[in-house]
This record gives sequence, C-alpha cells and structure tokens, in this order.
Amino acid sequence: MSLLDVEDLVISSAGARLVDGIDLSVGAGERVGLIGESGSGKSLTALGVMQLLPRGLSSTGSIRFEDRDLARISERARSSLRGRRVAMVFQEPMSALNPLMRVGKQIAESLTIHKTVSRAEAKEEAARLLARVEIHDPRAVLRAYPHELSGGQRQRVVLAMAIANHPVLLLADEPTTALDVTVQDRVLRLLDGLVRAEQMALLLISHDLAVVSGICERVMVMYCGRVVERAAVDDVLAHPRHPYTAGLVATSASLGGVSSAPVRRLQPLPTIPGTAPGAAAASRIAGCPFRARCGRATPKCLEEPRLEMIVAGHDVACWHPLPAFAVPFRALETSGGAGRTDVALEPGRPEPAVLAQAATPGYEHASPEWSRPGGHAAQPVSSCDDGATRILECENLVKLYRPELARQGGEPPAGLIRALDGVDLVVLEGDVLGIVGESGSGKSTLARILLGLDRPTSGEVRFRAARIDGSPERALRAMRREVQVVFQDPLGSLDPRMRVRDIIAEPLHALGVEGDHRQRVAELLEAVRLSRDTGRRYPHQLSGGQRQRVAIARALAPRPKVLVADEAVSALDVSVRAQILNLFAELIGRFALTVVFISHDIGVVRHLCNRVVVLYRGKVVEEGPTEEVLSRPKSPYTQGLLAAIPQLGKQVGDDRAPTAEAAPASDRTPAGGLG
Amino acid sequence: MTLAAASVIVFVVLAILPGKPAEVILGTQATPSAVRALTDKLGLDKPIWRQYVDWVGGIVSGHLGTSYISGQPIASELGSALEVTGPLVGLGLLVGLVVAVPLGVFSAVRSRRASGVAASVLNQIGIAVPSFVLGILLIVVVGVELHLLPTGGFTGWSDPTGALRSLVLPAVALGVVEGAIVGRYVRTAVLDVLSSDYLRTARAKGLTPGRALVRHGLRNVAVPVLTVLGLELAGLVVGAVIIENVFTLPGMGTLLLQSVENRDLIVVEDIVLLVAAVVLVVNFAVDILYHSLDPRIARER
Repeated sequence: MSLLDVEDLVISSAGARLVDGIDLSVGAGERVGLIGESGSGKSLTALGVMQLLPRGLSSTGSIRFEDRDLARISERARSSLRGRRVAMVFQEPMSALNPLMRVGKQIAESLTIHKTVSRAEAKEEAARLLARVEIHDPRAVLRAYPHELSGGQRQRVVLAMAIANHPVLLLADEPTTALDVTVQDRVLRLLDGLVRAEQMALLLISHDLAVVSGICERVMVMYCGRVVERAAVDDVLAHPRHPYTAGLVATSASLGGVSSAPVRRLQPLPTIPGTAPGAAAASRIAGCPFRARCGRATPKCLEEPRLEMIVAGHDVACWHPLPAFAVPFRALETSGGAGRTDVALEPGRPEPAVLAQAATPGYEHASPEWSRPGGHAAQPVSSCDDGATRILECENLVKLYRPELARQGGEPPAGLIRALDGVDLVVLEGDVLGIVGESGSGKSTLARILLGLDRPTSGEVRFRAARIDGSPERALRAMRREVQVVFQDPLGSLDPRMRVRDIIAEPLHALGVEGDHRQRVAELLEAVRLSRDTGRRYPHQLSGGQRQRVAIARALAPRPKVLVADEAVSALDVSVRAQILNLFAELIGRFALTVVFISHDIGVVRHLCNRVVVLYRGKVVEEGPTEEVLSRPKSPYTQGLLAAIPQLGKQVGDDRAPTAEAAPASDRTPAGGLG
Repeated sequence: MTLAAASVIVFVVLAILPGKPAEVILGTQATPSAVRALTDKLGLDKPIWRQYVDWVGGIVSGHLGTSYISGQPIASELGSALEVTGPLVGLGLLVGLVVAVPLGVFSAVRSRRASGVAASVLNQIGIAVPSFVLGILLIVVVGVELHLLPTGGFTGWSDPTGALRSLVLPAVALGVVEGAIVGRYVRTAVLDVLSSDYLRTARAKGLTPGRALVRHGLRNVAVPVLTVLGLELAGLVVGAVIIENVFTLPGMGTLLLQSVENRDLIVVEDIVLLVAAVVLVVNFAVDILYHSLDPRIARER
C-alpha cells in the first residue's frame, strides 16, 4: 500500500481532457519525478492530487492518500490534510507569496492553521524553520515582505512553509525553474537534504530531466496529459523505451552543460521534430498523441497504446518501444568524435537519424546541409584574429542604477547599484559571442547599451568605430538596421493585435526599407521554417517555439549584420529549445551573421558560440574561446557556475567539479534588497 | 497647482456665460442706469483679471466673498449647505460600500453558478438606473406608500434623529448606484485574487477557501478598489447635487442650482472650487492609504 495512490485521474476543462487517465503511486519516503514539457499536464496532476485545480477545471478518479480518498472527502477534511500531511511547493516563489503580508506571518500561519500555538511560539518556530532552509538572517527575513527578498530566498521561504508541519508527502512543482543555475543547485541540495532528513516522500515535477535525475529514484514521463513511460531513473536514462523519452534524453544530454566530450559547435542538436499539440488538442487525437512526431509511427498507432510493463519495473505506452540498448545517452557523449549527434533509435534502419529529421511533412525540416557533417565549413571560426573587423565594441562601460530611483541623470548619491562596472568587450565580424551570467550580473543591461536602447553612465560604445553612446535616436537609425534583437519572452515581445506577417514586415516599414515586403516576409517565413499561412495568424495562436521563430524572422527582416539574442531560448521547453538553437546555428551560417548571444545557460552558449564572456556583478570575470573557458575555467566563479549545472544521472550534491562554495554568487539579499 | 488651474477655468467659463448678474437681479423692468449702478457696486465693471485677482485674493485670506443676491457672506451659506451635503455624501459612501463589497465578492466567488450570474445581472441593473430615478422610486414606495421616512426637506441638526431620517432615502438612492459601479470593480479584483498563486499557496497550507479569501484576498482586493473609490467619491458629490433637488434638501447642490439660475456667479465659483479641493484631498488621502496597504509602493517612491 503506497502513501499516495492515484487511479485514473482525469482533469478536464470544457470537455477537453487535459490529464487523461493517470495512475500514479508514491511510497512512503519515496522520491518520484514527473517529467513533461509545458502543457503536458504535469502541474495539473499535482494540483489535482491536492484538489486545488484552477477554477473551471474538474477532476475524476480516485486519489488515495493515507487511506482516504482526497477526491471524496469534504473540503474541510482536505484542508486539514493540506499543509499538515501533504504540502506543496510552487514554481514562481514571487507570486506564490502574498505580496502584502510579512514573510514571518505567512510562515507562522502554516503552523497556526493546524495547531494551537501562541503567536510568540509560532514566530520562534518560523525563525527556526528559516534557519532550517538555510536562510542566513532569519530575524530580518521574518520582518521582510516578499518583494524585498531574492528569488532564492523566496523559494526557501515557500519551502519553509511547506515543511512547517513535517508533512509525509511533499509535492514540488518546478521548484527551481525560476532560479539561477547556482541558486537552483543550492535549493535542490537543500530540498534533497530536507526530504531525506525528514523521510518525506517527494513528487518532483520538472521539465528538466537532469533536475529530476539528481534527486529522484523513479520517474514518470508525461506527454499530452498521459504517462508514456515509467521506470527507475537510471533505467530511463540508460534505456528510454518510448521514442519521446529517448528524444528528451538525447536533447537533455546534448544541452546539459559540461560533458567530457568535445562539442562540435553549430552542429545540429538532436531534436524531437514538431511541437506538442497541447493537451486540449491532444484529447481530440485518436490513438497515440506522439504519433505525428514519431519516426516509428505505423498505422497501429491510431489505436491508443496503454501503459504496460515491458520488463520488470519499466512501463511504456507505445506500440513500438525502442529496444533496451538503443540510446545509451552516455554513449552519445563519448561518441562525439563521430561527428554525429543524431540518436540511433533503430539499429535496423540504415539511416538512424530519426529524431534529428522531421518525420512529418509540414513540420520544421532540418535543412539538407544539416545532415552532412561539416556542412558549415565556411563558418568563420575567428577568435581574436586581428584580421577580422571590429563590428561592435565597448570600453570601460559603467552603468549605475540608483536602487530606488532607477534611470535618472545627475550625480547619484551613495548606495547605488553598479549594474556594469568597467566592461570591455569586442565583437568581431563573424563572431558568435556568448555572454554568460546570472540574474543581476548586468548582462541584460549590457545588451540594452550595446543596442543603443540605454545609455552608459560612463564609457564608450562603438559600432563600426563610430560612437553610439549618447547619440540621438535619429543618428542610430543606420545602426538599427544592422543590429537587430531577439528577446526572451516571445509572447510578450510580439504585439498581440498584429498578424505574423505584419509583425515581420514592421521593421521594414519602420526603417524605411524599399521593395516588395510581401516577398521578403515569405522568404523570412521560409528561413525560419514556418509555413506560409502562419503569416495570417496572430501570436497567441502559435506555440512558444513558433513565436520565437517569428521574433527571429522579424529581427532578420532588415538584413542585419548583427543579431543580439537576449535569453532567446530560455523560456522554451527542452525539445523546442534544441530546435531553435539549430535554427540559430543554421541562420548564422546562411546569413553570415555576427551574434551576441546572452544567456544564463552555459549549455546553450557552448553549442553556439566561438567565444564566451562570463559576467559577474557587472564585471567580466573570464573571457576566451568557448571550449577553453568551459573545459578549463580559471575563475572560481566560472567553476562554480559549471559545477552547478544539473546533469543527467548526476546526484545532487555529488560533485565532480569544485563545489558551489567556490562560487561567490549568493542568493542572499542582493544589493538594495533588504535595506 | 491643480487647484489654481481649476480656479482659472471655472472663472473664465462663468465669465463667458451669457446673462449679466445685474440684469438678472434687477429683473426685466430695470433701467440701464440702475443696471450700471449695480454692476459698479458688485465690482463687475472691473477688467476680468482684476475680478479674478480679487476673488482668489479673498479666498486665500479666508473670505469667500458676499453673495450678489442675498448679500449674505458666502461662507455661512456654504457652511449650512455643507451640513447637509457632507453627511449625505458620507452616508452615500457607506451605503455604496455596503452594497459594493458583498455584491462584488459574492458575484466573483459564485461567478460560475447561477446565483453569481444573478448577482452580476442585479449589479448591472444597479449601474443602469440613474440615481434620481431610484430616488423618485424610493419616495413613492417608502415615503408615500409606506410612510416610513420623510420624502423631502431637512429639519436641521438640532434634531439629530430627524435629520438622519431625512437623509436615509437620499443616501440610499445615491449610494446604491455608486455601489453598483464599485461592485463591478470589486468583482474583477476578487476574480483576480481568486486565480492568484498566493491564494493557492494559502489553500495548500490548509486554509479553507473562505478563510483564505478573507485572510489573504481582501487586502489585495482593497488596493485596486481604493483607486476606483477615490474617483467615485467625486461622482458621489456630483450625484448629490441631483439627489438634493429630488429630495429638496438645502445642500450644496440646491445652493449651486439656485446660484446658477440667479447668476450669483461668485457662489458658483466658490462651490466648484470647493468640490475641486475636496476631490484633490480625497485623492491625496487615497495615496496615503495606498502606502499603508501596499509595502511595494513605498519602495518605488
């Protein structure tokens, strides 16, 4: 008898089955991972277990927890279990906390709801809990409001609230997704330690296979509201049986930070072609929901496969599961010398690049030259050759913000934030320069200044040897045409009331480019591998990956020389991220682009960039050719950053590289935070 | 600043208005020389900027001037009108809140059920009915048919119960309509809060839905509603002008209408300026309340 036994959980909204009949069990003290991309229904599953579904959604099925069916007992009875026996940690620690209530009161409330304790006792206990989640100054944090804390601190507070009553089951929904890598690493260690020390059972929900593999014993993979694979973590990593899981494993392995194998820069990453249809649409698909993206699909797949055991402890919902020896992801790392990152899914087939090639017409195809190794021989692989032209450079850049009155002129008083502190940077023609840093490192400020969208407090920015800092907007027009930008959030940066074709054509109008804009838009849609009729649609009708393609097409419209990408793939799911990175790699070659690629994710930078700059608190702490910086980092910060990246099959806290203590980065109060 | 601008606008607009005070006061039979004499006496022969300076100078030094018509100091006329209008607006606000908060919360919490939809419909009807229509309805039903409350007139505060009794119906007429409008905003704010992550967190901690809403929701609802309330208070003052006439209350509204009819311009100007000042003070008070409600705002400053 497990602690939690969910049977045939169905969550539906207006007839669409968003979670479609899930069985799930978690034993006492067991740590189970739930993997899936956005829209796969993994978060809804957790909320369904808690019976805290968003308004308008309803669930059926039984949720047996400690011999009671949470779906059948009264709301009052459920309330008395929530927070006491079963607790939950949410993804966005900022919005998960009441903005108008002091942190101490919110934690104390977790206690006072369930037992009678005096206010003073509750406060004492809250302070102890904060110390337990490794908050350095519990007394100060108790009095703080959520907005006064850093992201890591907030997540620790949410964790403190969850463990306040020593629950036997903890549901953690993407608990570290909103955090920086080094902070994520520390919060994961903390979570791991707490769960073990308190002997709690854990259901850890994540889109990141590496995060789950670091903590959990068993893992379930969800796709379109269904569980497609279920097994021990090691089993799934070593022998994924479902084609979707295999694709996820391959993609995660190739993007997951440092591995010993050399990375062939700009070579295509293994991807899963196409995009997930989204659970609402998937519920109308008969048969296997992965069919359309699957290289192994046959007519049989029109029947829905059931989750069945194929070997002891390994369940798969697939008519054509992969053989056990198909995708050892470690082999992928070591076989890098072969020049192929494609995953051999079917040894029987002569061309095993099932996952790298689009199997469905109408979806994004990998371009033909992708299948040829060395198809990008013409790629300029300059490092700091003196022969190359300096296209964009900055010298001794300083940007000061007043913590409260941001962006104001004049001589600022003491206590201001140095967003940038003497940054020198040279971007050569043909460079693909990666700028890596965590939030607060100044990387986005740097991007804005390079784009001429913000002015430095002091220092110089030059575009083709001409000063651009402090130039009036009109003088920047020529540069605007040559330097374009792709932002992180594709939905937020696209006008929701404009059609895709108008969005893409807009820079042409704005910059006064002559010519047939329709023709250009068609070319651009083709370049980013979107179908022509996408032009008629609105951003909200597109998937995240498609939106980012639109944003890229828009940036490419005026035929820029330089593309600045600010966290351009951070908001995307793993499989989509790999597709967009492949697109970037292809476009860099095709249009001879110079790219400044800003990211907190070293795995991403490693794949694209020939040079990398590591930014920490507004200073460049390390700089050099990508491979050199990543394989032999000199600065302790870079070392810490690399060590913190979750890796497949690596236990949390089981370190190969220097520990996170080497990293000076801290999720403690940022400057001006608690003051 | 705003107040100065308001004073200029009021003054200029009224100066442009047709109808000379002296002519109105003396009636249609007046001789031109009598009109001229009265114009001189009232100081209306001076250039307009001079009149303005005199008026503003008076206000700054605490003299609101003298009514053209009655010859009474305006301060005392305004004072007795305020004794009616002030409490009326206050009561109206109270009624408004009593209507808005429960109605808004109820229609949000039950938004997916028939009862919530019914509350929403009721709310819309409340918005659609003008306050004077409601006032007349109340007079007919409660006053004339049931004889429960007086339908008009005001006995003065020497008899507090009587005064309150005569203010009840106008305050209800005024408050229900404003409350219906604010209720819509309350509903939206509550819907926002209901789908917020922190309310979900509160429930995950073990709070029942009702307690979670009361402990974590209401203060968050208060923030946007306060803004609307500040704006709607100005609407209440304007509404009071009409309602006072329906219920024949000797308040500011009645005084204002009489003064406009009589071209008693200086009284009109004073009243408008006073209303502008009240609105400004209210908005300032709203700002201050904001700071105590929302710790994030203090930081942005």
